[in-house]
Formats: sequence, C-alpha cells, structure tokens
Amino acid sequence: MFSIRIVRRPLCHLTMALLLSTICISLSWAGPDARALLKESESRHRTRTQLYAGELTVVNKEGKVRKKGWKSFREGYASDAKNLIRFIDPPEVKGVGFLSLARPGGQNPDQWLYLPSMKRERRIAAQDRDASFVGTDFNYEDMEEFDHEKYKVALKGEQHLDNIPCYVIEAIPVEKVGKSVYEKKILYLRKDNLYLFREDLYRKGEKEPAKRMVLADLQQVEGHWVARKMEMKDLKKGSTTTVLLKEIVFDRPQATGRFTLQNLNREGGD
Amino acid sequence: MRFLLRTLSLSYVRRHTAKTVLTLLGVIVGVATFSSIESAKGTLVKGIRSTVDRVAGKAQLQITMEGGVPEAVQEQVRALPGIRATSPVIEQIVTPEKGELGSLMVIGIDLLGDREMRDYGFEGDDADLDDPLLFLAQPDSAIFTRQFAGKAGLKSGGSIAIKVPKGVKRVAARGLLTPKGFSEAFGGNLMVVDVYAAQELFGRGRRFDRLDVRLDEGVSIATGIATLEKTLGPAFRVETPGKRGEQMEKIVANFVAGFNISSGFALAIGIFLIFNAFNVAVNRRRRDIGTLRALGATPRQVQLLFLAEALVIGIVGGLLGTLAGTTFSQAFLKMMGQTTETLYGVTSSGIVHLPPVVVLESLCLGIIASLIGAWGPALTASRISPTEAFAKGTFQARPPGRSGLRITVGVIALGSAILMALRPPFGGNPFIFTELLLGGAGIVLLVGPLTLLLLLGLVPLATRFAPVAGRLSGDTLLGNARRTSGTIMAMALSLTFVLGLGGYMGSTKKALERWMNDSLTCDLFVRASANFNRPDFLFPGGLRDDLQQLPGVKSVESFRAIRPLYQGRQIQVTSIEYNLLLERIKYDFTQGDVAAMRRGLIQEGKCVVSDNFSRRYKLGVGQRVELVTPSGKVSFPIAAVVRDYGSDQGTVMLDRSQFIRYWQDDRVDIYDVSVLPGSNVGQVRDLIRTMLAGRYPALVSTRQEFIAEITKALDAFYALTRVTLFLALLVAFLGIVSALLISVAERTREIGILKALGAFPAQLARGIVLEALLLALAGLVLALPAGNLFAFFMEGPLAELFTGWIMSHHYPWEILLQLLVALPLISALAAWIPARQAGKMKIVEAIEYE
Amino acid sequence: MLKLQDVTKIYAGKSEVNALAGITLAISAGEMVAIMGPSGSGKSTLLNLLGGLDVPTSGQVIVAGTDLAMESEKGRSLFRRTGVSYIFQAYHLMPTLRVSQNVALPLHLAGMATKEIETKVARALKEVGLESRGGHLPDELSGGERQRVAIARALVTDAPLLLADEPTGNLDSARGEEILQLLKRINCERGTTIVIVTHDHNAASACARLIKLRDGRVEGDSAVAGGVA
Repeated sequence: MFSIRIVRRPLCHLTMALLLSTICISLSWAGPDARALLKESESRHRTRTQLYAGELTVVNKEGKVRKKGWKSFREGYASDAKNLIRFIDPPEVKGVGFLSLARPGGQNPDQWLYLPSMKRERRIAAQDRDASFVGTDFNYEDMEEFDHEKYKVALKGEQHLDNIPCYVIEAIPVEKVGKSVYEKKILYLRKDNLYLFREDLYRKGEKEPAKRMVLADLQQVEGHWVARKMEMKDLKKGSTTTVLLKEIVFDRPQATGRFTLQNLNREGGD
Repeated sequence: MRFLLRTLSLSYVRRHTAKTVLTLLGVIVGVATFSSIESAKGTLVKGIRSTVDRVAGKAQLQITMEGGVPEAVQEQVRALPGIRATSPVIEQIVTPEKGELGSLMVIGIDLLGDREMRDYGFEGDDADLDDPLLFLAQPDSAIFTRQFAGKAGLKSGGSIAIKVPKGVKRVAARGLLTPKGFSEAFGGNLMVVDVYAAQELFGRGRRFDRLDVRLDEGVSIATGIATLEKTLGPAFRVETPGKRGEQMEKIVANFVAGFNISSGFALAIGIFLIFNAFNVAVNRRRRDIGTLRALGATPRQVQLLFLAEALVIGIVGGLLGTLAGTTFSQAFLKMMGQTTETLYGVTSSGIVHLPPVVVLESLCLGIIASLIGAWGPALTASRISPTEAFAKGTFQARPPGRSGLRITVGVIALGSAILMALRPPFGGNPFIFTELLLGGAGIVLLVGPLTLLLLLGLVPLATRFAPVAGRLSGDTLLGNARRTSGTIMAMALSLTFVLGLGGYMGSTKKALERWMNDSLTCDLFVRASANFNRPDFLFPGGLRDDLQQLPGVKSVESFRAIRPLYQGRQIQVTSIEYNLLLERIKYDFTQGDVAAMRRGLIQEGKCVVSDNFSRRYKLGVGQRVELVTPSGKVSFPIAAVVRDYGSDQGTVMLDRSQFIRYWQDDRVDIYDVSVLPGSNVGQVRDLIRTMLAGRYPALVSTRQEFIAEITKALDAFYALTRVTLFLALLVAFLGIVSALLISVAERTREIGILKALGAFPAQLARGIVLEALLLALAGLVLALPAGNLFAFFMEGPLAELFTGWIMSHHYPWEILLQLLVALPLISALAAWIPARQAGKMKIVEAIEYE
Repeated sequence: MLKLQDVTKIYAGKSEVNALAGITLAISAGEMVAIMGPSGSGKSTLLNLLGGLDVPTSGQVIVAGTDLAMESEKGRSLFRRTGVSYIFQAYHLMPTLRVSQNVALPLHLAGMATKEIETKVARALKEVGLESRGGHLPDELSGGERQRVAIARALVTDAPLLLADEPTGNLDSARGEEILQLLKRINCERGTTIVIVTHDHNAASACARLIKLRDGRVEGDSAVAGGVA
C-alpha cells in the first residue's frame, strides 16, 4: 500500500493532485480513520519525479507586488525526497538556488540556500525554520515535505468549503527528533478525490491560525491531478504569496548529481 | 553682606568690566575645558557601551576569539544543548566618502536567521526588508537607519559611496530601519549587511568577529558559559554583552583618562587667573577696605565679601563655562572618537548630551576654583588694618608667610619630587599623584622668589635697550612683585606643561623613529588594512607565493600580529618568517644574541620578547611565556629580549611556522617585500598593484611612506597633548592681558603725568609691550628647567611605569623655537588692549586719579 | 568718657619711629576738643588709637570704660561700629556708592533692618542739609558737600564719640566755617563728644579745649576762649 503524504511544497502538492486525479476514489470509500485517509491520499497522488516552472507573486498588505520565476526539480518522496529550486527571474536573483535533502528517522531535512554573489551556499539552521523563504509567505518549514508519520492525526469531522465537501483533519507535530514551528495544522481534504484543498497553520501558543494555504485550479496533467495555483496567506501580516505552476512534467529521469551541494554551487547548475 | 555685594562689588564690576571679564574668562576656560572633556568622554564611553548593548540585542552571550571565530564553530555551538539560537556578527567601522556624515558602523549579520537575536523595526513602506532575496542576491545590499538615510539624502534603492579596505564602494540601500532599539546603536550611524558579504568585504576569510548566542529558556547564563567554555576551549572568550561592553569601556576610559591632565591643567590655570585678579583687586580696593574697617567691618566680613564675590564669579563662570563646554564637546568627541577608533577600533558616534552630573560637577569646580583662587587674597584683605590702608604712597598687601620658609619648603618639595622620580618608592597612580603634587608645589613656591631674582637681572638689560620704557616697565614689574610673580607663575606652569609634554612627545617619537629606521628595512610594505591596530582586512596566506613570483622581487615575508590578553593586558603577538627577517634586520639585544634568537625562534620553537614586555612582566631569557592559543595553552621559552617599540604593552615574537601551527590561521597583515638589487622599486610596486587590483585591498607603501604613515598614526595618539599645548598658550595670553590691564589701571596716575610731560601714546605702548615681553621671557626662562624636569619625569619613571619603555631624552628644540616666535607675538597682542587704554587716557582725570 | 594712660606707639620698620612717647590725658563726655601740633607730632596716631583703628605699643586707651588696647580685632571692629564715628580729611567715601548708600554703610555693616536704615539715613542727611543729594555719587558733589556726607555717615550711628581728622583741611574758609558750625551744633544738640585733629586755628578756636602735641608728647592743654562751653 502506498502511503499518502500531503506535502507542503508546491511540487509535492502537484504530485498529490496528479495521484488523486488518476486514482479517483469515491467519497464513501474513505473511512473515518484520519491516518488511513492520508495514506490513501498519498498513494493516489504520488509521482516518482516532477519538474515545473513556477511563477511566484508576493502581494503585501499595501498591495505592492513582487514577482519571481523559478524552476523546480524533485526526485524521490517524503523521507527520501530531494528537491532543487533554481531562480531564473528577475535578473538580480538569477542563479539563486535552494536545495533540500530529506533525512531519515523523522529528522528535519538539510536545507541550503545558494547565493551567486557570495559564490557559496549557506545552511539553513533549525533556528531559522520560521524565517521567510526568500521573502515569500512560506517559511523554510513550509518548504519541507509533509510527512504524516511525524504527526498525530485525528479526523475532526466534515465541512463544505466553496460547496466542496471536505474531511477536516487535525495534525499535531510529534517532535520526537525534529522540532516544528507549528503547534498544529488543520487539513481540509476533498472528499471527492482526497486532494488537499486547504490547510490552516497554527504557530506555537496561538489560538488563531497564523497562515492559510489554499490549492486551486485543479487540472489533470499527464494523467495526474494537479492544482496549478497555490496560495499562502499570512493572516497576520495580510500578505499573500501565489505560485502558478507551468510546464509541469512527471516521472522523467533526473540528471545524476543534480541534488548535490556541488551542483547547487555551480552557477546556473540545474 | 548682601548690601555690600550688591553695592560695592557690583559697582566695582561696572567700573572694571574688562578685568572682571578676564577673571570670568579664567573660570570659563577652566570649566569649559573640564565640562567639554568630561561630557565628550562620558558620551564616548557610554556610546560604546550602549552600542555594544544595542547591537547585542537579545544575545545573552558572545563568543569571540583573537583573529576571529571560525565558521565551523557556529554548527558546533548550535548542536549544543541549551542553545536556542546563534548568530554570527562582523563589526567594522567605515567612513562614507562624504566624510561629514561621520563614521558608519557596519554590522554584518545573517539576515536569514537573525530575528531571533535583534529586533529590526522595519515599519511603514517596507514592512519587511523590501525583498530579502533581492537583498541577499546582490552583494552591494545594505540596510541603513532612517536617521542616517535622512542625513545622507538616501532613499530606499538609492546608493552611497563608502570607503572600505578594497577602495571606495557603492552600496545600495535596500531597506530602512526605524530608529528604535538596535538601530539606535552607534548614534544611528549604522549600516547592516549580510555577514557573508561582510566576510568578503573586510577580508575575514571564513571567520566571524563573534558569535551571538541566545540560550534556551530556563538555561542560566552560568550554565551557558560553562557549556560553551568546556566545548570551545581556552582560546575562545565567552562573555555576556554587558561584560564585553564593560571591558571595551574600560580600555577606552583608560585612554581618555589622559585628557584629565588637560582638564586639570585648565582648571589650575583658572585658579591662578582668579588668584591674580583678586590679589590685584584687593590692592586696588585697599582704601575702600580701610574705610569699611574704620566703619566697623570685622575682618571676617571683609573676607566674606571677597569670597562672596568669588562665589558669584564661580557660579557665573561655571554656568558660562558649562555652556561654552557643550559647544566644544562635540569637537572633543570627534577627536577622541577618531583616536580610540585608530587605537582600539571602537568608537561611538552621536550628539553629546550634557549629563546633569557633569553640569553639577562643572559648577562645583568653577565655584571651588574661584574660592581657592580668592582665598588667599581675601585673607590678605581681611588683614589690612585701616591705618595701613590710609597710608599714602605705594601699598602692598603683605602676603601671609615668610619668603625664607617658602623657599625652604619649595626646595624640599621639588627636591623630594626629583628624588622620588629617580627611585620610585611605590608605583601606580599614587606615585604620579604624589610626584605632580610635590613637583607642582615646589615650583609654585619657588617661582615667586625666582621671578624677582630673574627680573632684577632682566630689567637692567631691558633698560639698556630702551632707557625710558625699560625703566618704567621694570619698576612696575618689580614694584608689584606679587602680581608679577602670579602672572609669571601661571605662565611658567603653562610653558612647563608645553615643554614637558612636548619633550616627552619628541623623545617618544625620536625613539620610535630610530626603531622604525632600524627594523623597517624592506623596500615595500603590502598592507591590507589602513588601521595599524585593528586590521579591517587580512590577506590570505597563499598570496605570498604570488608575490614572490613577480619579477624584481627578492623575498617576501608574511607579518601577522594579534593582540591577545596577557595577565589582563592587551599585548601583541607578532609572527614572521624569521629566517628571512634576520638576514636584513639588526636587533638591539637587551638579553641574548642573534644566534640564540635565530636558533630559538626557528629551530627550538621559542619566542623572543620585547624589552618592555620583559620589564613589565619580569620575564627574561630562560623563562617562559604562556600564551592561550586555539590549540590550548602553550608555554614558549624566551630565547632573547630585544628592543622593540611595536606595542606599548609588550610584544612577543614568534616564527610564522609556530604561529600557524598553534593558531591555525595563516592570514597575513603585511607582506614585507624586498626587491632584487638593481630592480626599480616603483616598477615592482606597480606590478604588485596590478596583481592585487580588484582582488584585494592594495595599500603598497615604500619604506619612507610606511614610516610616514605610522608617524601620522602616532600623531593622532598625541592629539591630547596638542589640546594642552593650545590651552597653555591661551592661558599665557589671558594671563598677560589681565596682568597688563591691571598694570595700566594701577599706573593711571603715572601714565597721566607722563602724558602731561609730553609722552606719545606710542612711547607708552612700547613700555607696555616691553612689560609684556619681560613677563613672557621670565616665564619662559623659569619654565625651561621646570619643563625639563617634567619631561624627564614623563619619559622616565612615568613611561616606564605605563609602557616599560626606557627612552633617551630628546630636547624639544622645535617647540622652544616655536615658543620663542609665538610668545613675543602673543605678548604683543596681549599688550594691545591695555596699550590702547593707556593711549586714550585723559590727562587731567588720570592725574587726579586716586 | 576718654582716658589715656602712659600711651606709647612705636612704628617698627627700617628705622623705629616713636609716634607717641607716653601720653596721659582725659576727655569728658560732651567735650569738644581740638588737637594741634606740627606734622609728625603724633596727632593722627592719637586719633587712630582713640578710634580703635590701631592699638598702642604700651599704655591704656579707655573709651567708655573699655580698654581698647586689650580688645580683640573683632571687639575693636564692633566698637568702631557703635562706639565711635570717624570723619576723614580725604572723606573716604566709597566712590562707587551713592550718597545715601555711603551714609547707610555702617548701619548695613551692623546688620540693621532696611526700614530703620532708611529712616536714620534720611534724618542724618537732613541734619547736614543734603536731603536732596542722596541719589548722587560722591564725584558729583563739591568738597564741602562731600565732607558733609562724611559727617552724615558719622552721625547716622548715633555714636557718643566723633573723631574728625582735619575736617576742614581740604576746604576753603567759607566751606570750612560751615563744617565747623555743623560740628558745633552736633556737639550742643546731641551732646556728642568731639575730638578734632587740625592744623587750622579757626577749627581749633571753635572748640572749648585745645591740646597741643609735639614729638609725641602733650605740650599744652588749655581751655579756648570763646569756644564751646
């Protein structure tokens, strides 16, 4: 049985959506067990590799807009996922890279950011997991894969969002090895295809959600369901980050050594 | 008493405005100097402290290491239990190309994760850094405070030229900080850059200046320090920001304490001026005093009247002086700041705020100085008996005390001061204090009698050149022995300071120059940092090979100096390739010889220490110096002791191989380049510049240039001496003006008669100028031996106490020459106002003047 | 009132000067006495001793029962404040003080209340006929007027003894006569004991008794015909 993992990284969401689209299970199939639902969701939407070109837009409270473009490469999944993001636009940030390598045993992944101006990578430390990822409303923890095995999950009921029936699942980080920024996450899973519809993120010690992610514009690409639009709202700052996914390709073989520090540090290395 | 003050004193002031103003000026100059130095000092020290505090933010501990904290330490520390966050910091002071903006403190931090440490207070338009990715991706990015941006006319996105080690660089403002908390550090003259960009910019290699550490909640500071010290070893210092601030404060406070000399000197001079003015006032008002006494005023009432006047002058002068002080303090702050920046790499920027304590102190000092100055004259006044006061003819209030006793005590005081200087019975500040007290008292007591003796000799000489003017001025000077000796005493003391400090400065400079000529013998010096004391850039060690391959280069040595603490003092540890260096330098050995030095340094891993180190720590050949290195404590046997003026706190010399072995740091401060015989130094210099261009800062100096630059840096250190010099001359000027004004007023009748007999104003003026010249000359002649004694004391026992250096005396001929030119000019200038007054005097009124 | 017993005064200096060589004399309360003698006869010294400005080398100077020779500096100051008033040949007015302030000076020294001072000063000025000149500076007055200010300053303390050193010395005969009349009137009306040291025979003849000094000794002591009784 495939285990379903709801991933928080854009590419992982895409994977999940594709899986959902191909398997397409009926609503009644889903049992009342949250863990089973999440496993099923992951098994439906999982892909081996994924490539896409992302269009990133950050709109702050005052309506100021910043745009960037990147290319994302992913190989493996959850506990063995490797992910490289390379910025291509605007020219000032061209060549900036981000590499994330999952680590086993529930540890937080290793993450590095490469800056061409410094000609060197810098490691993202555990203390920086809540720092904004390159000025977006995603933080470095949001850039990790969501591994439901790191969470205590419970089904909290069902709810209609935009007339779409959803399961409401509460996930609380176990934090045996790796620490989390969040106290809990509330996931809204579409009942029709077990694709993630929305996620509310609660920081430690807070009663109200700090951020909210919504996956929209669900389409089928190469036989996989994929949400082409991902939106992260910072409910406190009032800013929104939108990622539009283009040129999505699944299950292509990856160049060897793509997911290494050497490649990250190679200017323009894809 | 109030009636007397209001009527008698006030009307006296009204009649003698000029004299009162001069008296006031004495207090004002003293108090202004004191208050401006004090408040600038306070602002500097507090600024440094607050900058440390503010920059530290929420950091509870700071890890530092001589030469920088290697990057890897960060991961090591982060993995430790109880550590919530760490953040690397690089700090550097730079100047914008537009110098008037003041020094900028550059703080390199890890912008990705620094929010655990500092609150940046981004607000308004750029509710965040405008775009962190844009910021980090572009190496010219910087964040400025709104304050500074406003001052520099800088908008978000705009750029400003900054002088960095590699040259002038334009940086772009990609974020503005709201002035609160952190961004108020360094008076708001703050520039924040990415720490990795700062490494590159300031040649830190893969090192940080320090690591800021924040502990988990519930972990005590003591536990944190213990954990970190255990993990990191003795080469690292783990301190709270408060402690670090305190230490920096201490270093700087010690330095600026030197300004206390100027401050105290100014006050002493103020007291003299007041003393002089009151003395004269007592003489002038003797008939009034007599009348008062005849009408039943008690001696105490008379004394109180004068003291009350002094009190008023003290209060008014104190207030005005404090006010005047605030205007100067900014300039003082700038000067002190520059010096501490050069010397210690720390400074603070900002506006001087006059602390209430300083205001109070200044006022009190003004009052106390006035009262001390007026005490003697007031006592004399109270002892005037009415019958004496009414007696006709010239009158001199008799000073209390006898001249025989005075001379004896003076000789004893001065003699014991000299004896003590030759064989100090105890050390430290008590020694200096006792010396200054005894020496000062001796001089003060002896100046009076000596003055008379001197004038008795000088007057006939002057009379030979200008019969009438000479006789007249001579009579005036000798006739008012007390006033004359008072003026000359103030002058002599001023000039003693000038000659003494000047002699000391000159001797130090001479000794250093000789040493530099002997030890700086290579052709070119390739430096990465303009600052001699705190390097703001270091070359990588590998550059030596590149330099050596340039055509025309004979040899290259890599010099590196660090300044670790040794027994609580900042000593210097230098390293170089001694096998090469010993080929070209002849050391002056105090202990050991060249062979022992060569063998010890190169083959046996020993060290060589400077003579002042040896003297200070009482260590010589055969003994050991224990130094803390990143590899642990290492004890180096001493192979030789050589004369070296590299550091006033002592130098330990090691071979480069030893340094690299124990410090694991191959970076280089200066490459000493020797050129092949027949090669053109200029051409080699150009080759080096071309090679380094764009890669590294390239401060390539020839030997002469290098020596000149060091000399210039040393001059900055002596800035305080120049302040004293200036004050001394100002005091000399004030002293002469007041003495002459009084003299003219006293001789009103005589001048009137002279005019009646047909004297031209020019003739009268000549007499007054001659009087001024005689005063100045007498002051100078007395100051010559006293200044010598003072210089001897500073160069000898004092310098040895503080630096361990022994210097040969160098007479400050150039200062003497300057004085010989300046003093007559100053005297003539000082005589101008009184001379004009005498010229304008109406004959009839003058003759009737009583 | 006044009693001198074997009073000598020797000024030490480069050469010793025997200013007074043993003087014994007595002056009763209410007397008006002139002391005459050539320069250097000891007149001014005698006056200074009587006024407590100086102390004798030996002998007693008893004024109103107190031996001034035995008094402390402070005691003599207090005596000068209340027991005696002085009129000087050179007036010794404070040039910077207004007339009324000059007159008020001894009262201020004694720490009297301002209100009282004002009354007394006004009365004294009226007595010497200078009530309109209170606001002037001494420099703005004539010689006779200045001497009258000095007299007013002497009167203001109501001291029982008034000592005058050459009160007419700097004045023409008319002004001098005015001053003498004024002193006579004070002697009569107030009963103040007055001792005048003078070269001026007119002045001497205004007094009831004339003491002649020579070389520090009393040469003669006699009543003056036509003088004040």
